[in-house]
Amino acid sequence: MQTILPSTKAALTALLRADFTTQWRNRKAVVLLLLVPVIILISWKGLVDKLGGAFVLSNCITIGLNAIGLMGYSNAIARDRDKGVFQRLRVAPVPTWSIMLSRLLVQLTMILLVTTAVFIAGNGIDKITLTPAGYILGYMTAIAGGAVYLGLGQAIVGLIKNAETVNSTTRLVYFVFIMVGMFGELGVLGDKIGDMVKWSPYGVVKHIISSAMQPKTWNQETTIALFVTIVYAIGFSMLGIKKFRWNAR
Amino acid sequence: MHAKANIGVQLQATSFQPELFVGEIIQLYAGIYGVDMNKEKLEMILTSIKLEDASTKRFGQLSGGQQQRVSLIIAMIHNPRLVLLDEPTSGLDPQSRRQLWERMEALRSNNHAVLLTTHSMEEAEAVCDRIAIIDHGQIIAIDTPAALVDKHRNDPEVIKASRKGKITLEDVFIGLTGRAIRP
Repeated sequence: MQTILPSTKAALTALLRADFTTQWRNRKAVVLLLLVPVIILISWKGLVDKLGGAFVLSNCITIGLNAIGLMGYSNAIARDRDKGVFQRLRVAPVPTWSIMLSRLLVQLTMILLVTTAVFIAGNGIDKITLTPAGYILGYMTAIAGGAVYLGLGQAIVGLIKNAETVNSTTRLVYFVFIMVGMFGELGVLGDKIGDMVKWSPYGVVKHIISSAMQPKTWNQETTIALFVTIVYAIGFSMLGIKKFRWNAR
Repeated sequence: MHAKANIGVQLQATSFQPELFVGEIIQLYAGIYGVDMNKEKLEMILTSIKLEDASTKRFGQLSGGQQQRVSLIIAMIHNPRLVLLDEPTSGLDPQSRRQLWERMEALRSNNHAVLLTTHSMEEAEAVCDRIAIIDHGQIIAIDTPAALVDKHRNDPEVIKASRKGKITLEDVFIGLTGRAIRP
């Protein structure tokens, strides 16, 4: 009986295949997740002329990123932890970071999908077109923004062990973020709330995506918003990783 | 990592991603353990555990006994030196339990060391060469099933625990660990 030490690459490939298959089997939920920002984009058709295409697209992408990190990622992690899926994986010779990396790569694909869906819908419905640089930077800032919400989702599953409580908490946070974020950005909640929203995880992500789509509008405040985005992403992720337990007991 | 690669584990409450089919779960763990798993080999494995049709079934659709067979085959997928089985027969019907015992015997005869944790003294007596009785994290007795019974058959607590006059391994267990129900 000889010991076969599996390569990390082979293990990661197997994990990725399984995680992408899982995501594919949940494709109805994925479609619904993609539909939320697209429906908001359609309903905001009248605002494109008033507020600009970048403003509308960036809000919709931010809402999609919220849904990925808070509704998709965190609930999947909480469920698998609750069911003992991680416990079983962790007794196998696979590095723990590769278990999480595989999950995060699936979410990265989701971020690219939601951003693409919003860009396509924006072009098809509202005739919003960006420069090639705008699209590329839009994708890049969407990934940075997605990291904030994935980090926040990780923090929630780190701080809360019960899968049901994770589910209800993420719903609450998602609802608060999109309602306060959207209306705050539109200026209907007053200046004070508007300022708070501006530097909230919603506001900074929306800000950098919006500016990235129109590179000429990138200014010092956007750079600060990018810095704050990175701080949020690192802060939430570190909290989530530190507090995370692989089993729910 | 080296130790994990030499050990096969079947947890008490094993769960796999509910969206995956049994064949995909086996392929996942084959990949993790660095074992080549083509379609023919997968079919052969499933046939060996009498689950020929389970490849495209989800783990949750299988019965308790079938789930345990799949879990055991995954624990054995990389032909490990040591197999850890954590209460593998809990909740199984007698037929499934017997079948699993036979599989444990087969593992042993193929030179695999098997470490079984169980609360069933009947099971321990039926399949184990050596038994360690652990109480509050301490090994309080270790020997063959017959030697444990012989050694403790005259202990007052063991005699008190005996229900039908004949001393069994369960009587020895209760005699050594006490009659109180554990919290």
